[in-house]
Amino acid sequence: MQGFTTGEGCFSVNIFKSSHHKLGFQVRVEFELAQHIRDSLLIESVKDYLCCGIVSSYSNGMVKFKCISFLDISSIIIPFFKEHFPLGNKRLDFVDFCIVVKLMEDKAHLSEEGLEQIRSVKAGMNTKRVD
Amino acid sequence: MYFGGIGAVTCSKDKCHYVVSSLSQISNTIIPHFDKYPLISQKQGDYLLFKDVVSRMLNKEHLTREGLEQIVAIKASLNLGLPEKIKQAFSFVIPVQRPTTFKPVIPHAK
Repeated sequence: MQGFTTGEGCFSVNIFKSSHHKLGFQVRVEFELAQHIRDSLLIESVKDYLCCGIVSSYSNGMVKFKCISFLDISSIIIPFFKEHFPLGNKRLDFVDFCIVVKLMEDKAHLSEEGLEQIRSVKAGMNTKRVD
Repeated sequence: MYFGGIGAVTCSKDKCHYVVSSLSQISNTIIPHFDKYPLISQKQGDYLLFKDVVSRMLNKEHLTREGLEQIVAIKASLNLGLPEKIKQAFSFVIPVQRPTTFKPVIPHAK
């Protein structure tokens, strides 16, 4: 799982406009792992292995495991990858992801200041990371 | 250094590649590694075809016409298959069947 996630996994932070939230924005953390549809059995077994998330198929021939439940992210995904840290640059994205989840556990996403903090971490993650 | 210093890293714009192309290093280091730690995705099918070609090359089969044709038949099922030029040159070759891995098992299960 560690190596597979280093190569194919994604830890992401999404900020959506939302009329249901006081600040007008919702913050969502996601863990994803995608493969060619030929490996749908494998992706299903990732779901069984981690005991969380959902699997969806896409018309472009991709199958994806996705965990968007905050509770599952904080109680399953993060403890698992803290024990089996991703390697390379993915490690840095995971560290940033943990920072955001910790901020959310402390309810930071419900204040302007905390949301700004989350935005600034997100701004340097994944494809926006500059080495 | 993971593989004891074999191979080379080449970088272009935004990508880096690690390449091992010595037949003996592939056979002595790369293959034993992937036999010990098998891939869990359908890429294992490509690995098994690759390994078959390596053993044929160690037996010098690629130096005979017949052996070369057998290797082309394997390459036809490997990754994206044959490039157009090779496909034309070996139009009579029948691709081998691609091995499919069975029930995927994620190692180090809890």
